[in-house]
This record gives sequence, C-alpha cells and structure tokens, in this order.
Amino acid sequence: MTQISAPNSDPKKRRRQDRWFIIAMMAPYLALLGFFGIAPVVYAIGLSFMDTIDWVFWGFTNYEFVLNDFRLIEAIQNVFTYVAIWLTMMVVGIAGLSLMLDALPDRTASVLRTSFFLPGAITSSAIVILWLFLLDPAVSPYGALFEALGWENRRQVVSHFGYPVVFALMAYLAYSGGWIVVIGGALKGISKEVVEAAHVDGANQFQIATRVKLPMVWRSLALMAILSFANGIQMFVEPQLMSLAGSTYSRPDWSVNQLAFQYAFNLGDFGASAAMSTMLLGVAIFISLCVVFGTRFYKMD
Amino acid sequence: MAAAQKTPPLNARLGWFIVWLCLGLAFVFYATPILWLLLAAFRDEPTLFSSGPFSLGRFEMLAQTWHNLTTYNDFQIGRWALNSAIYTIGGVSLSLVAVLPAGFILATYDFALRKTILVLTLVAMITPNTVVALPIFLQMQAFGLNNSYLGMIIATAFFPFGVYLAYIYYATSLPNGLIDAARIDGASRFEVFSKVALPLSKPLIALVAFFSFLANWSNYFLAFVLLTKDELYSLPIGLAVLVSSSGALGNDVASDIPINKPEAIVAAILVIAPVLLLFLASQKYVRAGTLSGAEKG
Amino acid sequence: MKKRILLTTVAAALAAGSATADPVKLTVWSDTARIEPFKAFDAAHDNIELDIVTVAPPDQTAKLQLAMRSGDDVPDVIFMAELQQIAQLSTRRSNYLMDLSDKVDATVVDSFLPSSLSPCETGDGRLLCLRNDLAHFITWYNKPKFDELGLAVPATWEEFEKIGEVAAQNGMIVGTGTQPTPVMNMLIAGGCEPGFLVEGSTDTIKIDMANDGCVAAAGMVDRMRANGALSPHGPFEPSFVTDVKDGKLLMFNGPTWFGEHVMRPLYELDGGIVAASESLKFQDQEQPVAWSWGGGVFGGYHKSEHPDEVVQLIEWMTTDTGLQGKATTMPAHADSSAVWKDRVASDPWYAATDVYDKMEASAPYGHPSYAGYRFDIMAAFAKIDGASDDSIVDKLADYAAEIENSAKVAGYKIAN
Repeated sequence: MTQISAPNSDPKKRRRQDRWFIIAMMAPYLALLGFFGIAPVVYAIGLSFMDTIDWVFWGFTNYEFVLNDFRLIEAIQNVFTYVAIWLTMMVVGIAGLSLMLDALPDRTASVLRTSFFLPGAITSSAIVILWLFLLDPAVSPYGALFEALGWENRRQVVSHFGYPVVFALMAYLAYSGGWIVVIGGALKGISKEVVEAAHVDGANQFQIATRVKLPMVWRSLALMAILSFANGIQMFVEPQLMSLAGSTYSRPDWSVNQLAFQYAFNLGDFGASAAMSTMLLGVAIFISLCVVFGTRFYKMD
Repeated sequence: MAAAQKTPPLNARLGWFIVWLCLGLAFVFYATPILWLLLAAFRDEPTLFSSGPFSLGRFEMLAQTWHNLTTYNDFQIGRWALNSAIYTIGGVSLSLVAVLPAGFILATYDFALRKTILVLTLVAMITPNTVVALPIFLQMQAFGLNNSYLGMIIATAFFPFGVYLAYIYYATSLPNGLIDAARIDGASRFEVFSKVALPLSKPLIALVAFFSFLANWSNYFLAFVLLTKDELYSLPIGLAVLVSSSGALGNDVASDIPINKPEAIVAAILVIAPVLLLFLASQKYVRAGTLSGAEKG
Repeated sequence: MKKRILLTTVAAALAAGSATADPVKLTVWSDTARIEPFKAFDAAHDNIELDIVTVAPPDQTAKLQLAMRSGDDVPDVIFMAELQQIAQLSTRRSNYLMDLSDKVDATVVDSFLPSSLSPCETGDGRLLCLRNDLAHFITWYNKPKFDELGLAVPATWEEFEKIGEVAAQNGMIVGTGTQPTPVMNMLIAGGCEPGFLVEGSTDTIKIDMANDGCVAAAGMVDRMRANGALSPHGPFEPSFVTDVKDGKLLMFNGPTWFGEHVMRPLYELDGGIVAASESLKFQDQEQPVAWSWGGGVFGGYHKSEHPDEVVQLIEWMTTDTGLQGKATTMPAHADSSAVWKDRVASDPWYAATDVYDKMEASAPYGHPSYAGYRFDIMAAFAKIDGASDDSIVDKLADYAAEIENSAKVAGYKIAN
C-alpha cells in the first residue's frame, strides 16, 4: 500500500481535497458500477419476490417453483460435472504444459506457446460453429481418430463423449492458452539463483519443476481456478448454441443459467428467472468470497 | 522419489521423450482446429466432405463463398463487422477511461468505501449474465439507449476485471517513494496520476485493452439482449442469426438462401480474424503483465 | 426514429388534400425465407409500409418477451417457423398473439386445405394464426429403383417394413432412424401420444406411450434401425447426403417439402427419379394419421395499433395465389395450392405427375393434435434417444416421464 502524504499543509484541508480528488477519479467507474453492477442485481433480487405480471409481492413462490423444477437437479449435475472436468483439465494441462515449456530453449518454447495461445481467439458463437465441424467425423480433422473408435457420425461422437466433456474440450481449447502464457510469464519471473541452487543440490529437471517452480506459481493457478469456476457455473452460450446443429443437439435446459434464461424468455416468467439467477449468484459469491478471504488472494487488506 | 541423486542418462532421455511427446500432442490438439478452419475456407460444400480434412481447395471456391456471403441481405455481414468495430473501439476506450483512474485511486488512497468497492467489483466480475439481462434492458429502455451504438458502448465499458487488473498493477508496480517524491516536488494530485503513474502504465493499458477488446468483440449475451434491430447486430450475433436462420449447420429444415457450411466457416473466420491478429500482437503484454502483482502478493 | 415519424406526419399534413393517405407503418419480424414475400407485399400495397426485421426463428420468443416488457418496438406481425411459439406467445405471462377468429372472414378460414389451421385453433375457440404451408408426412420413393427391384408402392407401415428389408439386403435405406421428427411420425402414426391437448382444453394434456399400437410402432423402428433400413444419420447430415448421392435412397417418409426443399437442392437427384405416394397407415387402422414437420404460421400482435392492416397483411401472406403459388413449400391455402399444383405436375424433374395429388389426398390425414406446445416434444425425444443405445421400446417409459415433467414445468396439467 503506497500511502500518499504530502507535507506542509493543513491536514483538514488536505483530507477534503483528497476526498474530492478520489470522487472525481472514481466517478466514471462508480457510475458504471452503480448502473450496470449494483442496480441490476438489486432489481433482480426484488423481481425474484414478485409476480411480474400483476406486480404483487408473493414471497418465496418463485423460489419454490424453481426448486421444484425437475430439470434443476439434472442441470446442477451437468454443470458441476462439466466444471469438474474442465477445471481438472485446466489445472493439469496448464501447469504441465507451462512447466514443460519453461524447460525448453526460448525460441522453441515461444513458437509452441503462440500455437497454444491462438485458439483463444475463437470465442462466443464462432467456437460452437468450429466445434460442430470438429465433432463431425465426415469433415473433422480428428475424423480418423473417431472412425478408429467406431464413431461414425456427430451424434455418436457427442453421445460417446457426453456433453460435459464436449463443453470442457471447447472451453479448454479456448481458455487454456492464455493462462499458459500468463503462468509462463510468472515462471520466467522466478529468479535464476533459486533454480541454480536446486540444480547444485542435485535436483533433476523433473524435481525442479515440481518442487521448486510449481509451488511458486501455485497462487496463479489457484486464481485461475477460482475465476474459471465462477465462469464455469454460469455457462450459457455453448449449450445454447448447440441448437445451431438442429433439434438433435438442442439442449435448451442443460445448464442452470439456461434454465434461468428459459423461464424469462420462453415462459415470460421473469420472477422465476430472477429467483434462479439470484441463487446462482449467491453460490458464486459465497464460494468466491470463501476462497478470497480464506486465502487472501486478492490482498484486500 | 528415490529416483537417485544422480539421474541415469536413460531416465533423462525417457523424461525428455515424454516431454516432447506431450508437447507434440498438445501442439496437434491446439493447432489443428485453426489450421483446419483456415484451409476449409478455400473449399466448397462438396469438397468439404469428399476430400481429406487438410486438402487444399481452390481460390475460386473461396471467391464463390465470399460472393454468397456478401450478397446475403446486401452485404449485411459487412455492416455487422463495422458495428462490431464501433462497439469494440468505443467500449475499449471508454472502459480505459473508467478503469485506469479507479484502479489508481483504489491502489494509492485509503478511504472509507475502498474495501466495499473492491468487493463489489469482485462480485460484479462473477455476476451471471441472466441476472442482469432484464434489469439492464429495462434501465437502458428508460434512457432510450436500447438499439443504439451509445447504449452498447456504455454497457460494455463497465469492465470490473479491468479495475481489478489496474488495482493490482498500481498497488505493486508503482515504486513506493515515487509518488511521495512527486508530491513533494509540488505535483498536484492529478499530475501524480497523469505525469507519474500513466507513463508507467503502458503494459497495464495494453493488458486492459487486450482483455476488454476480447470481452467486447466476443460479447454475445448483452448484445443479444440490447440489440433487436438486425442493422445494429454485432458480428457474433449476426453469425448466430446467419447460421440459424439459414440452417447452414443444422439438421433441420434447410432454406433457399446460399448460406451453407463454407459460408458459415468464412463468416466464423471473419469473427475471429481481428482477435487472432490482436493475439499475435499482444502476447508479450499478457506474458509480462497479468499476474506479476498477484504473485508477489 | 421519433424524428422520422414526426417528419412523415408533417409531410402528410402538408400533403393533406391530395388523394393518398399517409401509409400505415407496420413492423414485421421475419426469418430469412420470408423477407422477399414481405417485400413483395410492401411493393404491392400503397396503404401499408413495412419495416422488416430479420430475427432468427429460435430467438424470436426471447426477443418478443423483451419487446413486450418494454412496450416499444413490438412487431405488429411475426412469422413463426416453430409452432411451439403459438403456445409460448399466448399465455398470461407472454400474451402476444391476436385472436383472429372475429377478424378473419369465415370464407377465408374455409379457403385453407383440411387440417391446415389446426395448429392455430385453440381449445376455447380462438384462432391465433394463419398457416403458410402444409408439411404433413407422405411417402417419397425412388421410382426407377422400385421398378428395378419389382416393388409395389406401400400403403401400410407393414409393407414399408418389408420394403425396408429388401432395401437393407441391397445396401439401401428407406429413411432415418435418428432425426426426431420422422421417427416421431412413425410412433405417432402407431398411436403414441407424446402429450396432446385433451379435446376442448387449453392446458390439460394426455400422455400415452404404452398402448399396443405405440409399442408396435416403436418395435418396427427398432427392427428397422437394427437391420440398417433406417440410417443412423439424420437426412441433412453429410453422411446421409453422401449415401443418397451414391444412389442408396430407396424411399423416405418425409414432409411435403422434402422434394422441392431437400431432394432437389441438397441431394441433387436427377430428373425422373422422385415420385410420391400417400401417408401410410398400420394394417389395423382405417386411415392414415400423419404428423407434420414445420409448416410455418403468421400471427399478429393483439395490441397493434392497426389491427385491420395486420389482418390484411397476414391474409395476403398466406392466401395470395401469386405469391404462394411460387413458394417452395406446399401452400396451405387451397387456391394457391392449385396454382402450385400445376407447377409441380408439369415439372419433368418428378418421375410422376401426381406428386401433388398425393400430397393433397393426404392432407385430411394430418394429425388433429399437430400444434405447438410450450414444451418441446422433439427435444425430449432427442434427449432420451441420445442418452443411451437402448431400443426405443425400452425407452418409451423414460420418454413419457420426460414429457410429463417438461409439460408440468410449462404449466400444463396431466390427464390420466
């Protein structure tokens, strides 16, 4: 914490000037935070207790309706299976690949790192379109692999992988590269002396990677995991856009967020939708804050 | 791990073999999709299926595909690309204007609401889109900002992750004595920010701009909610509309318009091309900047 | 926006006294295929000016919810490619559709082919839309191959299955075993009831996936999937298309648009191959029951400021013989269909001149319960069928449970 303390002036006046300066500098962000961050959430929480047609307060009716939806348990299972698979892939893949790259000569590492990084450019609707091709043995570059496994068409490929794995693969391809670059940067920051010392002590490359380097990027990996977790439980675009491939692949109620979307936009029940999203937000906040305050990742103090 | 203090050469060679094998497989996994996508742009629908996945098509095929794409609704996809550019440039610029001073203040001043603002920023980062979709829609409606460039730009300028990045950066990268020294030298509060902090913020600006660009360019949900007029669609929304209304990838009812798989591929490339270029240009900033702060913390 | 309206008002005021009135402005939401027809209407009518917005069919309900919430930019007329939307947009929570029953003349209503308007008619006597095209299942077959193999055109599903065996022996296929709608058509033809509204009711549905006819139909699909007569691919998937181009398609139970919309442009079949025959029935049934696949409808906004023009537009889009006669899909409107008929009958691409006659003859077999529901029968099928490799017979109970659950969530009561 850098504390600014300019000398030679009346402390009261200084503090007042400080306050105005803080307000002026924070104003644009605070306006946006209020308008797009706080107000909508407060509004949504309010909605969740209302009947949104006649605008009467009806307590927990919306929550009851949502919790009784038979799809909810399934959607929760789907999302958590997906998040578990995806996070495992992310942690193992990113840690493993970053450490391997760090042991390589710079030039080679940089070429490989770039190739890992680039798929991150494929996002939102383009990612689903790409994957609909990648999963179709008739056109896929992985077609030979699928055929070797006896999977003749996209439907079989999707049903053998299962949706959680398909979405985990999509998300891994898109998001892991950026983190490999980030962790790679952090690894480069480890001082040469530390690594050298370990080497002198007789540690081999593998031991240096797992016992010296890994612990030093552990925080970054954990932060990556939190952000990915918060993102993952809100997944929406990928399952929603699977319908681009037609009714056979359409899963409009696959994830929790999709259910919230469906209530609002298919049934016109914005109260139920708000109830579902409020609960989802609650879970995300609870888990993130637990981790944040438990481990002081954000160094809030 | 009794694997000996002195590693036998055989073990080491095996180790390196495994490393290269893993990296090789990873390379295939990561590079294949993009390579395939770029090559597929040069093929028409029949050759997409009849020839091998990496076979080369012909330029005329791309030309035909491009023609089909550009004649769709009088080159509407060009309009969408332009819209996307406007939304993104506007959103990125405005988000920088909001993010940099806020991050600076949060990192250098101690005031009553500081912690609250930081926590709210974190909460905003993880708020599901579906929570805020309808409220934001109605608020924008109240201000007449739906279906407008300005509305989209303001909405996407809210970028809490950027504030977090800026906060971490300023908290850890500004040398402790520097600000005090500047103040003693008679610099005003604002000059400390504009003349001391900002010139040191190049990597931060690159980083925030990078992530903000990425978030804006690929924004789907907000655009879906706020934009109902097709002449205002952004590329990701347009792409989804193009594909779903033409049934190009679907196994449902087809339509007469000549938007098929090759057109979907080329349109997808159009969506990702700017990001791809940005990625190539900005890798070093991402590598240098993101979490240097978090690591030290 | 506002400015433009103001300007036109001013312009109109200035032009007052001249004969032409200020044109009424209607906003319409269209899928890509309906853009040209809307433009044609615009060009043909001076009194109405259209603002055409393209909306992807799956997004339409969501966008309407938002528009109705805000009260601004709500379209006056929409095209619904997915019939589910009829049900989704006529509830207390999302009340969009205009009741046309007292606005459209009885003569117009009667000018549609039999069973055309059943998706638009509600249990309590409202009429929520007019139908663009008819899309009931008929039998498409490869005439030269039928002649070559000495096969007779089937009239029953039992004969269909036998032909399937012949096809399988010759390495050919007679349809798809995975695409939800064609498979469902076979099940429903047998007597399965995957959630149909109880007569006269608007919110009570009946589910019966266990009656003998239903199980028998499911058994037929299972056997035909097993021997390969029904392809494991959907009819628009590349593998299926490749098979067809290799001359392997002997027969297909498909909707009326399958010829013009798929077999010609997608399969690129040569002239003189495709012929059609009526919908199929099971031996013990008196007459066929045919499900449909699509067949879009037009509907209007009940709060539109220009209800008369809305009705005029909807009527024109569905009944203008000049427009509908040229359509790729079979017009639901009888007179337009007659124009359409002449075109199909004289088209040398077909191997027979009676293709349209078969379609029309099958129209009365259209299932009376073919309509939109707020839950998705086909999605439920896709979900259950994709979940395991078990036979359909074994999955009927799961399927019934899935539909029951989805229906309840959507606010339906289940009849026993």
